Amino acid sequence: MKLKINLPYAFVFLLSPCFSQDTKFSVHGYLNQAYGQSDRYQYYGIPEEGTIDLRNIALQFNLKYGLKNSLVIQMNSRRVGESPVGEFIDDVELDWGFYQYEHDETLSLKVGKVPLPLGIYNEIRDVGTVLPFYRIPTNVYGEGTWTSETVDGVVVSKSWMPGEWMLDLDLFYGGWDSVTSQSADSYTPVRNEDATGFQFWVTLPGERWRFGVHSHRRRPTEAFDETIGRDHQDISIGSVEGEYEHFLFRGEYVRATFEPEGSSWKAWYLHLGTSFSEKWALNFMRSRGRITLVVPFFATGSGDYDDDALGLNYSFTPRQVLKFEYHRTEGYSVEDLSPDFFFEPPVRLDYFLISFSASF
Amino acid sequence: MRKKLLRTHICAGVFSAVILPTCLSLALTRPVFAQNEPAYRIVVHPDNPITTLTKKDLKNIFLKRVVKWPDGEPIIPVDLSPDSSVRDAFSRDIHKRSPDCVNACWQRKLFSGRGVPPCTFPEESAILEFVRNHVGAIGYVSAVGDANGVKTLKVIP
Repeated sequence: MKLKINLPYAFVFLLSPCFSQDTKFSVHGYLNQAYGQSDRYQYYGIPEEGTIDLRNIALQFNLKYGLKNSLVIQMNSRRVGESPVGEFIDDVELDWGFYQYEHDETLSLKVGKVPLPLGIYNEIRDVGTVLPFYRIPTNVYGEGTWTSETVDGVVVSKSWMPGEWMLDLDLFYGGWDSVTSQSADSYTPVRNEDATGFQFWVTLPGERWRFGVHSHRRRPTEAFDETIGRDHQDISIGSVEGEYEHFLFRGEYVRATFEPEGSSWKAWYLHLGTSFSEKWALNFMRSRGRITLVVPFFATGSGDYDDDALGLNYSFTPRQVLKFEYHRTEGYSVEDLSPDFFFEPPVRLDYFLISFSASF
Repeated sequence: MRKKLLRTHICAGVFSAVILPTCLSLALTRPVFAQNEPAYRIVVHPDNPITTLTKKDLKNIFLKRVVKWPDGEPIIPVDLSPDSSVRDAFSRDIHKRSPDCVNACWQRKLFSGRGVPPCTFPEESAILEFVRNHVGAIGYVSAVGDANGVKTLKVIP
């Protein structure tokens, strides 16, 4: 078993000041275990013969001293089935770990390996008990590929509460490792530096609806393909989340642009959820993505990625949830065929997942 | 073209056959909660100078958006366990949500590194004991019953 802990982060914890005698320590964690099977080919690690090797386990250690200072570490063990992404994931990893200084209730600073505020799901991408499906929408977030769950750097958070409204702003700077690809069967690790961006949320009075905007620019330090430039990549996400009584609505749109000029990734999803009772919930999601790639002096190609899902969730308790979900997909994310969107039509496949999530 | 049409029909079918009726039936069977006196009372340490709190104050305290009393003392909110009927009443009156919903909100905050939920106690007696022993503590217990050694606050809308 490999264990990877980054020493600079460990120093952040060791050197963090302890100003107060009032220390609180808490441990939390979650488990997300699934069985998945596709009707043909392999899709994001889910093969035709099925796999139970889809799992996320995390343990979080939270040390708070006084009102202003805290240290948080989350260790994670993640399995992604037969996906080639698994090659870049250690058995146990430091999910995130940071020191937080809270100036007051509205202003805080986090330093270290900090969860990246990006859209609705990025910071909670593996917490099955609060997710409608086993995975967050892959068209918008990727399978832990084109973006990262964390930023190695600084996040400053500020909140305002004018009347019944709530405004939340996160500013971040730093870098991260990601894994990215041009085809479904070949992935390359990429280090991204000078990532600068923000996440802004507006919550309407009543706290039933909130609207978010995220934008960042980053600089990949290694080209993952000779046709893709290294100057910078820009990502923008618009989010909306609403709930009313037994209904839940979420939608997000992402637009990523990269070199050569004219190349982009655009995707969206709409999720409608409804709960029959305290125990049962039904979720429906429609998601679309389109990649456009310009290869200078050669061609411009584009490919569409569809994922429609229907899921039924049963909550034994709010912290123990069983999910059944069925997905109908069409696109180029088939890992054992790796179709080329320049020359080949999209591949259609269906898959299902049965998963159990628990947290404490 | 035919496949696309078929797919559209399947999606429309799922929507009209499953989602729409569910939505309508849930909307029509929406529960109505009593608007009478609250089934809970708010308790703090006897030395706490506060005598009244608004519902908005309570919401902000129990979501840890406000962390200090006016005199600078740290606020320590404590919850009853999620299956408690008193917690259910408190949650629906103050947060306008079920305890499960508030719990989901806390899980999102917790596992994104944005905060830890209040401590939870299974019994009201444990809440009262905790509040008696911690100057900054605040909790809630049922509106009836013994609450010696703590101060009950008046809740205003």
